[in-house]
Amino acid sequence: MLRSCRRTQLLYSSSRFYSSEALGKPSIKLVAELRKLTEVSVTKAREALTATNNDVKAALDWLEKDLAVSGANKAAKLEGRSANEGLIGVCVLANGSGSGRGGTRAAMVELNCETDFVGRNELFGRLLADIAHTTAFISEPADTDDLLMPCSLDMLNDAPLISHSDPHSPSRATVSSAIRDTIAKVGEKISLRRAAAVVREPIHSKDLGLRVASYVHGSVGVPTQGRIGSIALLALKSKRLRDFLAKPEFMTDLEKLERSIARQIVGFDTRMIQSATGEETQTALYQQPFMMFANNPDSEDVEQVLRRWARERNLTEGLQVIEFKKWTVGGDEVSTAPSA
Amino acid sequence: MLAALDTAFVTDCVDKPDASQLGYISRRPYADDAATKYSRAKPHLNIGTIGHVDHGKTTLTAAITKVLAEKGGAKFTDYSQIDRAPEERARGITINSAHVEYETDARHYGHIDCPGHADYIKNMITGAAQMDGAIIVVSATDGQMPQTREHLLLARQVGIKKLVVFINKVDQIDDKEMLELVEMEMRDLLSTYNFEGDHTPIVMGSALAALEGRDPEIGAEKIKELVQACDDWIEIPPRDLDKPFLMPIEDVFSISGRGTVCTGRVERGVVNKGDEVEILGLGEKIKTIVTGIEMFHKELDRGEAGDNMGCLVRGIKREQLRRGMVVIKPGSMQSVKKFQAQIYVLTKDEGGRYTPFMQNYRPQLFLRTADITVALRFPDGTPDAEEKMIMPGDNVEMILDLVHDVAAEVGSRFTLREGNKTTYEAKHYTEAHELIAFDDATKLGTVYITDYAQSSLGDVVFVELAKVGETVEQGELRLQYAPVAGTVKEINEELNSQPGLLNKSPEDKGWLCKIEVSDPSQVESLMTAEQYVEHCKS
Repeated sequence: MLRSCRRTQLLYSSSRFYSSEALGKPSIKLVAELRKLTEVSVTKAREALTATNNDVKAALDWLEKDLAVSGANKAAKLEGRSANEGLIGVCVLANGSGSGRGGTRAAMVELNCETDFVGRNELFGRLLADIAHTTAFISEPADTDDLLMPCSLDMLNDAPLISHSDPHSPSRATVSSAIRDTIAKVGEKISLRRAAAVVREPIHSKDLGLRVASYVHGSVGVPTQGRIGSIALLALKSKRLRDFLAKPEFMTDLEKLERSIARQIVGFDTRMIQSATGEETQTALYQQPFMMFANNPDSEDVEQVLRRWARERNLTEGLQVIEFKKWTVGGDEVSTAPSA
Repeated sequence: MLAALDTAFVTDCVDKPDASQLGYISRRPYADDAATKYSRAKPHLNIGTIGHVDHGKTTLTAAITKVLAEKGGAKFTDYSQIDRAPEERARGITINSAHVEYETDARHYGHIDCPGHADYIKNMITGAAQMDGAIIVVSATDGQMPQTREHLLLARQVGIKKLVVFINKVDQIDDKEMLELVEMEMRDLLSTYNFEGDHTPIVMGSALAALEGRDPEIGAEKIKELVQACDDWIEIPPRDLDKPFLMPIEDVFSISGRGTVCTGRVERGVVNKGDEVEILGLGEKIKTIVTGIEMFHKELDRGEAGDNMGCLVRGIKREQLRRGMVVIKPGSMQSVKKFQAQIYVLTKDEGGRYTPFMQNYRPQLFLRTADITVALRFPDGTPDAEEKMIMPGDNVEMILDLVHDVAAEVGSRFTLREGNKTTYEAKHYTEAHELIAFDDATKLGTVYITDYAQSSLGDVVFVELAKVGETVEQGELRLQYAPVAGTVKEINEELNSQPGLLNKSPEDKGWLCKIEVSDPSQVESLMTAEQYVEHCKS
């Protein structure tokens, strides 16, 4: 075939160009190298090398500066399009009583894009993980009755982005500029749709505990990202709570229960914790058969299981789900005010 | 029409309200026929376009129809018609996809374009348009993008072996070397994902130029080159007739003086009188000889794909054979008790379940005529498999452990349905040849005319039915078919317009009404199936 001989020619010419790189026209070898490093478009990589006289290092700096402008242009161009795909990401930095210092710090974020191809891409997943981490990290303990609070997107957009994989590295971008850079690379509209966080200092009262449960369904690679996500808050009350929380087997069981509750909220059409009138048996968490709890042979409902669970462990005053939020990509918010 | 039987079967199950999942045994499927009509003279292939939203997939598709329309091989379909990607329902599943079709000198193509990964997967599982190949569209100005990897992964996942690449918008790049770079990178990436990077045809052109009828050297000519590359590179799946013989057994009879006959519709291949065949599945693997072929009460020497036929087999007792086994060319298939499959779980709107399930869920598996209980679990090494749930709308890869073995191969389609749902639907009969299927859980009795009445008593006389919401007494005259007392919940409206439906079997929409039974003991006092058989004899 013609193709193969063209390819040979191409390889030959590329090596020739590499050896004479000082000439004004950028070699395709360098363009390829720059693309591997940055994933920018062919046109952009070439522009960068032309502007910097084929110096890859300088081209990288040039690109970083240029991305601020060209990324913004691209983002403006795509603004009118609709982004209904994407992922929900959850980041739990501190899951409450019994672990670490006992404080609570967690966030849930929805980041949208146009196709599920981009949603499955690593760049997008990394961006979401970083934003979720940032949200959990920068949120301040609020003085409100509600624990799970929506975050201001304006505030978040201007916040320095913290890398989830390397939180201690210095931040190189804000959340909004990181989104812009990703738009420039994948060429789709990407928008931060909503973010919520729960941040509480450790509870001083000896007999009261707060725990964060979370689950994300429909993950492709990263288990903390998917198409439906939930965060639920559990309150534990017992005079001997401190003793219980110090026992590893209690904590293992508790974590299992927490995961089951978060899964139950996602898996079923859960819209409230308790039905005020007793009529909404399908959508009220406490009235649903607790199918996501492994040890439930008599299909007891969530409320019964919680009671049994507490009784079996001498958790005298029991444990309760006090709030939750459930998001579906592109869908409506389901959340609860604290139950009475 | 090989896959036709499979497909029809799938439809059949999905339409029923408790069908909950569709499955697809991984990777390489049979070629399926597109729903559209076309000349059978040329071999048919389904092809898809995959690429970034702005790289010109739709423009390319429109350009192909335009260029081929000039030769009479297509109907020109413009951008706006393709871009709509209407939501359609295939086998009960909602899929977003646009379809066009066109012909080259050698082939007929069905061309599909879906907006997302999930839609292509649904397409594969339902067999709505099984892709035999795909065109990857990449813009010369951008080159491959981060998500191009996801495009190639998708192509792998839906079982595509060969791709053709179209590098679009070449008129916007003046430096030829840049085009060569785009090509080189693309070949590297193709090789990374096990598509033959060195040999895959890559065509460079401008779909827009072709669509606007300008610059034929990068426009129309390149479209022709692309289509030629598809003809040359993408392989034609074997026709049903050319595949090894397979007939799923629907029923088995014993004919005195002749022997055992199994009936069914030939799914693929050809069988001749005197051929050696193998009967496979449900624990059996029997070799025998076809001593007779019968169709429409006539003896034939040959049966082929699409035929409904009876197959007389030598030296086999009726008890050895059962519905669910297959008659095949010896050695052409294996029977399996365990396999990995890609499963799409129907949503509530699609007629599926509305609650999630965990592994070790045990539904019924329907594959051709077989109906087998199966246990689902995640593949070994799946993290947190114990706690993982599967929700309606998910597509997942799972391991299926079957209670009995069944003949299956890569690409076989099947459905899964909630197990034992119909088992507690007790059946009772009246002297007036009515059948009441009573669901103990809902107290709902569904009233049918029995098969016996429909086949033996001639035309069924039909009287006015009660209205929904009315209360009826047992045997009430006005409502001939109120065999039990209760409240009428639903009337089969279709009977008004198509009374002929009554003459179909009860399972086939022939029900009359549904009554919420006020006194279940009334149902219990009716005849059982055995008593009814005796009643009919007398």
